[in-house]
Amino acid sequence: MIFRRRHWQGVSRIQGERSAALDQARGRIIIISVFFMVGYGAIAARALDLAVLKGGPPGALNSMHDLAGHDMARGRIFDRNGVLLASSLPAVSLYADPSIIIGADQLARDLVKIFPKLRYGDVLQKLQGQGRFIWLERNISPAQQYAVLELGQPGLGFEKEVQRIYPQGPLTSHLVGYTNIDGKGLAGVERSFDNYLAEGQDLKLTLDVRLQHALHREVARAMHDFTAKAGTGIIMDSRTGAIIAGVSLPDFNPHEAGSAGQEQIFNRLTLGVYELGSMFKIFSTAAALEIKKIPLGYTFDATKPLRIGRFTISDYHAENRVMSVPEVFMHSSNIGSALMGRLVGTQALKNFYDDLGLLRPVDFEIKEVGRPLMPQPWKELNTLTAAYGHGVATTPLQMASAVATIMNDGFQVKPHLVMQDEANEEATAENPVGGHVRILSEQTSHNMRRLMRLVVTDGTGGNADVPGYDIGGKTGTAEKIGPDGRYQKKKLISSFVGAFPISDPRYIVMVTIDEPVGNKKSYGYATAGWVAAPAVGRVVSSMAAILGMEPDKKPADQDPAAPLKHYIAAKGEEG
Amino acid sequence: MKRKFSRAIIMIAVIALSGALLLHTSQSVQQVEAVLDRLNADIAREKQGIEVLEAEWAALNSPYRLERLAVESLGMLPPNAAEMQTDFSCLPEEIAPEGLVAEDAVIKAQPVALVGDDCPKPKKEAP
Repeated sequence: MIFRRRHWQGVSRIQGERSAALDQARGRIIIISVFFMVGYGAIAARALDLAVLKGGPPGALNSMHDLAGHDMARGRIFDRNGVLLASSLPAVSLYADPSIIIGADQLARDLVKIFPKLRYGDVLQKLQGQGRFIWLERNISPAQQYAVLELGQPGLGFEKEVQRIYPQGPLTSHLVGYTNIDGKGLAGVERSFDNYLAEGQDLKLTLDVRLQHALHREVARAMHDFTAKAGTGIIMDSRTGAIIAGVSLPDFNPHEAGSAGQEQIFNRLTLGVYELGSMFKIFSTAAALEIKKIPLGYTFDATKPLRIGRFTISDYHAENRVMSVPEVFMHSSNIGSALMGRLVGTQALKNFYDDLGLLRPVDFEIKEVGRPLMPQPWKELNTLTAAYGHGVATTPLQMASAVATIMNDGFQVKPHLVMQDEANEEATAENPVGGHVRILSEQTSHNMRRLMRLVVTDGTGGNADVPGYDIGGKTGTAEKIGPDGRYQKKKLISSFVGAFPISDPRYIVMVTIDEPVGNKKSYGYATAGWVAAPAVGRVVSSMAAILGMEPDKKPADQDPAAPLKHYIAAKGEEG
Repeated sequence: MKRKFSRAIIMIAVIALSGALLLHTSQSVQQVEAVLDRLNADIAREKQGIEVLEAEWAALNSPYRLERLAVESLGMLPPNAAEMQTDFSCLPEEIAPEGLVAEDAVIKAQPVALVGDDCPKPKKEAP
């Protein structure tokens, strides 16, 4: 201070211009020093901030990764009631860096103990390989991860991954599908909605797991009872076309789809193309009623087999007499149906089948869809055989949809698997997608309902009946074509398609059993009436209990089929 | 000169004060952000936990498993339309709470009988 004063006193002697210049310089020095002080202060504060205050626990950063990873997870798939069908959950995978592995042979032995599926030789080969990264096992369990950590091996590491989980197991495997280990959809909805699901969007299907299970159980039971090779089943809303349940057996565990056989992976319901036999009589009869306007009392001569050139058409349940339309239908007469086909004519019958969607691949939400087979070229003989289901092969899904169209007052029904919201789904019944497309008249639809009821009350489908639920339906037993191109008498496909309640059908239930073998209870028969019809009956019985549908028991004279009874000749009345 | 000097001091003070305020504000924001990050991470973890539990719930409630347990442990059978009760008079009588004398009295189990002959009866053995 004293020094400064002296200094200033010394300086103060300087006067005038020089004094002003000095003052200015001093001011500038102060400003520059302040500038630097503030600058260094700011840098010090920022350094403190970065080094001390922001260096929080390392967990914070990781959890941000978790958050990002979670947002990218594949969308989930639900059934119509919100039951989870597929979900992506965090999982851990094990990899090795062979360049820093210590004691590869001992490590390989230890790893095989933890992962029994791995083979010692394979693991050792991987551990001794070149490169810095190799997968050892994907999606390991927490217990396995713990055991690997216990080994204390520096060359092993874990990678966080996402695993696709199907809580219902094999129950919906063909329709929901599956993904590969990298989460790419390979079949079913997982494949056809791969991009949508990959964006993290959830999907709701029209399936109902309760009914899916009931259908699965009954198809499996029919297969077991008749030692069959395979089977399919479908429950469809006959007004909206919504698939409520769809089963193809044998099925597979979607978590291990890679190890499933071709027989299990194959979706028989939508991709399998089969001649389904007499069920086609529903369509040829509807065509005769609709196009030729024949009355129900119209008769066809089935007294003897029909010969066309070298080909003979005969009846399985031969009545050898003249039969009315209801009789042809309930006894499933091939001769009668062939004559109906001849009456309708080749082009008209083909067009009618085409309108019902039986001759083209069905437009459906999963990509595994089969292409129907038909005679090429289609001659008059083919019209006659196609009228009772020989020579035309379709998928069970198409068959169910076509029957739904016949039952739905004649308006076209298109099958679908992805649920719109519930209000829309209800509204779809009133305003179907693509508008109301009429395929046949309401009158024909009503007559067909009665005819199908008659099959259950008096015809070949009696075993499908559940008192109070008015099931109507049609049996179909077809011989399979062998490797030599001929029909095999012993290898059958037995099917039954049912609709209920028949006076205003709500559901279509169809079961198809591939190569059933007759048993004691069926007196050796393996035909549809013995194999598939009871299965459909049991499915309907379960459905009624699950959905809480009350039975509507009424006397026989009020049955929907009662008005048709007078078209049926009493036994022995006609030759 | 003195005025200039004091003005500079005031400026420095203002700069320092605003710097300190800025630092304080940024610190508070960062602290809150850290809390938010932790909360978001917790939410994500909880959501993931919920998804795991939902998957577990769906697997435990799968109709196949429930039916197997009901058959094995309770001796029940799959539902059947023939057993459906639609008539209220068919429902069993309410169990009369005879033993409600003392609060902790154990109510004696009574055999439940179905009324009426045409009422649906539960099936005894597998169809």
